[in-house]
Amino acid sequence: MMVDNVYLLIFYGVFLLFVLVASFLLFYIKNQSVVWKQKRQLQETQLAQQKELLNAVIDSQEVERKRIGQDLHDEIGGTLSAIKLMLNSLKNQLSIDQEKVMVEAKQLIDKMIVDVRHISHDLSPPGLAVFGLFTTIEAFVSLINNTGEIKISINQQEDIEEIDLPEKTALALFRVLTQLVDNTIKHANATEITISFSKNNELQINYQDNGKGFDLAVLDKKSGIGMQNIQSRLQMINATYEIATEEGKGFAISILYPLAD
Amino acid sequence: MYLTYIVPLSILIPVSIGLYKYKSADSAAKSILYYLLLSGLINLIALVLVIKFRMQNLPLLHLYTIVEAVVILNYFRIIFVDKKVKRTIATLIVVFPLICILNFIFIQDIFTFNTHTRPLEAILLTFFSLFYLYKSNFIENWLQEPISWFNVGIVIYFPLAFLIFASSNYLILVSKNKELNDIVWKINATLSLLMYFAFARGFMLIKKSNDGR
Repeated sequence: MMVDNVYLLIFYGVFLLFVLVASFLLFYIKNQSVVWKQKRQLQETQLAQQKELLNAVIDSQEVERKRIGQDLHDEIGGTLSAIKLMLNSLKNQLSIDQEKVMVEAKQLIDKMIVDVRHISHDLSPPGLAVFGLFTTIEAFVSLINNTGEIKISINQQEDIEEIDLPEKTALALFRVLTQLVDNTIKHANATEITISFSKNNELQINYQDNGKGFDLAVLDKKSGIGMQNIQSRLQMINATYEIATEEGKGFAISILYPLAD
Repeated sequence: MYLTYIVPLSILIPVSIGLYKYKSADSAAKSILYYLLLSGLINLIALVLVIKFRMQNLPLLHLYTIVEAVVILNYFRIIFVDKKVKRTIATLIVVFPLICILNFIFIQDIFTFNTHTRPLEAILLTFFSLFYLYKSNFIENWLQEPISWFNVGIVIYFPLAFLIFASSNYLILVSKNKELNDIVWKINATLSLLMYFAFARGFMLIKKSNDGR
């Protein structure tokens, strides 16, 4: 009495084996992908943490700069003006020789007042919050142009000043541009710098000098503190950038900052 | 002794724990409990039939297969979240008993082992418990979840019992090797014992606090 369909039973057996093997493989693959995912997440959090840390460092740096700048301007600038006034009150009470020394002293004090103002403005650009990025950059550029060391020209779209940038962004872009100018003056032997601003969905800033340029590979190997600062500040405000430079062909960077509409 | 009393009676362990936790149990745990109760009941009837009336109890196995498949499939229907899977299982709950009935009416005599349908049942249950494991991921306190233990029980018993189910007619009716037969059914009993223990552990993990309300 044999009522079994042996083929059916063999089919069942093969099928069960298939289910077991397939599930083993699937479990293995799934487990692997979970491990990969976790690794990637870990990396992402690490990156995010680094970025946050950098933000915090830059933020506190800015706060400190602002404080020092203000103290310098208010305290030392004030005291210097007071000293100058006191010296003025001595007028006509001194001999001619002494008067001569006094005039020189007053000149020195005047120079100091200007220096202190420059330093404090450099530490915390005073117009940024009130007049915005573009006006502040213009003021900065005219200051540099006045030194006669280099010629900087700015091109901008007419409605560019309508863009209302967050203060942090404006400050970051201002720092980046001043750092770029600083780099050009220090290292590039350039005679001309062009900065242009344009906007559509994003704010585009093109910076270009006619200096000696450098090999981009150098930047990969070691980037100086200046360049690192530029990178981290741009990263902080989620701006992207592209550098184009070659030895003897000048330096150009194009910065894109997405505008929220 | 082992086959007739110890293993069938061991079902009382998970059953009593399950009944004790009945109020706090969710519907998945309850359906496992129903399975144990029905299986115990049918086993009891089978025992009585054999011992008291010296009757063939194989027809009961055909019924038992249907009951077991329906109750455990229903358990899977409850624990899966995916609507499609739920629907598929619901269809199987209807189709599988039909296949069983067709099988014992037209294909396999009701006084033989139902080797066509019982292995199929074992494959289905194995498949769904593995599939659930795959879908639900191993969570951190995996061994603290009652459902994990229910599935472990099913995965312990059914894939291995499959071999025994599939070869039962051959073993009993063809080979007639008493010793081999004995060993095979002891293995089967031991596996079901392990399944009962896993279920018992699952019931133990049901937390009393959340009252099921």
